[in-house]
Amino acid sequence: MYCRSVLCPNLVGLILLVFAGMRAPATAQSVPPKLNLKADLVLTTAFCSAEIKRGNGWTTAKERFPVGEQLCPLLAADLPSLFASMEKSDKVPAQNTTDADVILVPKIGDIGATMGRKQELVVVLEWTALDRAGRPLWVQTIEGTAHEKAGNGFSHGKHIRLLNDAAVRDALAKSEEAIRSAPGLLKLAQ
Amino acid sequence: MRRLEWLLILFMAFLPKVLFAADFPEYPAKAAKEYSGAITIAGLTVGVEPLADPAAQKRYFGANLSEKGFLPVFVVIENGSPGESFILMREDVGTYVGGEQEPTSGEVVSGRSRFGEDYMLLSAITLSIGGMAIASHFMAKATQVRQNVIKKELRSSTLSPSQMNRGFVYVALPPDPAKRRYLRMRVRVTKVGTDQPIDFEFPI
Repeated sequence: MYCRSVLCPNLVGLILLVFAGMRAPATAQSVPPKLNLKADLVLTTAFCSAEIKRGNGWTTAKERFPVGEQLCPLLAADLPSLFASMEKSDKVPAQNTTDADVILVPKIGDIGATMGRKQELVVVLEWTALDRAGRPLWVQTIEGTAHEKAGNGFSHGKHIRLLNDAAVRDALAKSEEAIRSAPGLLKLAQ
Repeated sequence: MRRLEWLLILFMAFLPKVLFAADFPEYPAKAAKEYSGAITIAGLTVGVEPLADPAAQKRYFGANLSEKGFLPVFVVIENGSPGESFILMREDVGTYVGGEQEPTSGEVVSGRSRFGEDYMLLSAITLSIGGMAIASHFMAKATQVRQNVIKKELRSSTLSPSQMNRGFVYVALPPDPAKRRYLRMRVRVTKVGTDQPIDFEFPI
């Protein structure tokens, strides 16, 4: 009876539109343009194995924060999307021996972890961008941080892993942002 | 006895690691030129301020760093040049006595509380639950002090025009008191794209 009225087709149409809107694929997010540079990413063994350990397993829980081990593969996988091309190496090339426009060298400045009801992990990561001749073009220190509850004796290990993962991901996100907006690299890419 | 052991195991399983969190205020910074003896070269101004007062160290760091053999020195760097950028590398900030370089970093605080660890051991042996809670508090506090020291440290950066960088450098005090009188800090920066360093030297 209602559908005989003029409003009915309009209502049905409106409902269909709402559903279509809900099911429509999300609009593509704007991808920032790549820096038109050929880059070398230097991931040294010292960097990739940077970690802190604490606790004796008796009076204090044994804890390990393998920051380098987790950060290295993430940087190697994610950073190429910021540059026209990227090579990976495990040591800084000698002066004028690479054809890369920029050599990116990350270094772990410090790793700090608190104990407490709410634990905090801080990863201080220092980025240096060198030119082919080994001169610094840009230097930036970022701080990856994460907070996580300590949990209890049974869940503590899980929370430590979550804390480490979150701090590493934060360091990665801040690194990407810093590199993307580095004036020295933007100028070189022009 | 068996009951007590089970109670202890249950308590340790659900024990929050600590009950209190420390809070450290930010060190108030001024414009670089407002520090006594500030130096300006090529548009770059550097000012330093040693924090020798133990009460102030306790306030901002939660520990008397001088007792541990370190002097925190607050460093402020401002790029007032119209178009030049400079690079500050943390390892290029050093302290000297005569021509000899002194170590500046090193572990200022370990993040470990010996007292807390010993007390925890003693409490575990004597099955003192209250003792364990107190020991946890001391151990957690030590980690928070270290975290604060890390967060307040001067960091490497690029100083674009009108940018500022600031933070503490933890100077290892020479054991010889005669040497301390001649201690000076050198802040070295490099103009982007050059190898030429610019040095700023201060008595501290």
